Amino acid sequence: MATLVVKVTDGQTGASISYVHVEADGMVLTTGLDGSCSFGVDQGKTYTVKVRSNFYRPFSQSILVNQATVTVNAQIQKAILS
Amino acid sequence: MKAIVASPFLWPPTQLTYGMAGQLVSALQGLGVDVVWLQGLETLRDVFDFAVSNQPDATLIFYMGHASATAFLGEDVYGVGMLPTGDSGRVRGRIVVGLPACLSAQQLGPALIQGGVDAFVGSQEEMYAQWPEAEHDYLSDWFDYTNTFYKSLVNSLNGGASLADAVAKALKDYQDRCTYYMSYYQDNLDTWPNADFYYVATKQNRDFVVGFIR
Repeated sequence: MATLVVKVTDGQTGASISYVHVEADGMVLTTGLDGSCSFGVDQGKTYTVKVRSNFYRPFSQSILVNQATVTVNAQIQKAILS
Repeated sequence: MKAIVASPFLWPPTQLTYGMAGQLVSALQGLGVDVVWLQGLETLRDVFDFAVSNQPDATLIFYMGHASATAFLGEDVYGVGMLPTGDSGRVRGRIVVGLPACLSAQQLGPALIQGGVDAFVGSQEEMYAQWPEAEHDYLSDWFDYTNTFYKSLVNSLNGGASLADAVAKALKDYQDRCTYYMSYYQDNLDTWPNADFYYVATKQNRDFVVGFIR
């Protein structure tokens, strides 16, 4: 087993974004107060990470888990006009 | 026919709506509309008021940018904004459209109509921007379906339609174009990783845009 960590930040301010929906090949988690969440994954496998929020541009990235811990930094941009 | 197009560009994602405004200005000019384009800091309240008072024949006022329930914000996103509810008299007798802009149909639109604006179109909810993603250029789709509204409105007015009919047709053409893109995204949900988001975004952009006629 390996760990896939996803850290979600605001692309403009750099602030962590909590309570954001994160998917990794069908597994679903929500970011904590520090803007991150961790999936238990298989080493050597490629996962598609998706970040979805009502207020931000969608983020999607494929990542190969080639070590014990792999981190995806998802910097997302504001998507609404208010 | 003359239009004032106001498009801020400093606060994300208005860099995108600014590009949309550039396309709109070209399209309007192609339809024979005389355009005054207020860009960036020209969308602050004083400059906007000056432009409106000096262009009394500009019957169309088109805004693309950040808005709240009570104001088009322009570049003044932390202040009273470019066109707040209290300024309704300044745009009396004009056709005001905030598309894309969030929430403006909640209070700003009704206040402007009460203040003497002939027609107002805006959204009752948040509106989403779209981007070019690796799998598909959702930004171009957004430009296309949004500007469909404006081009339809001007075409109908140029053709002699009543204001009510022109607004109704423009809204329908806009909604139909949104629906077209929603179907396109739905057909590609399995292969386009961001199609799910843009389907929902386009649906929201379609479903909450409304028009008021005085």
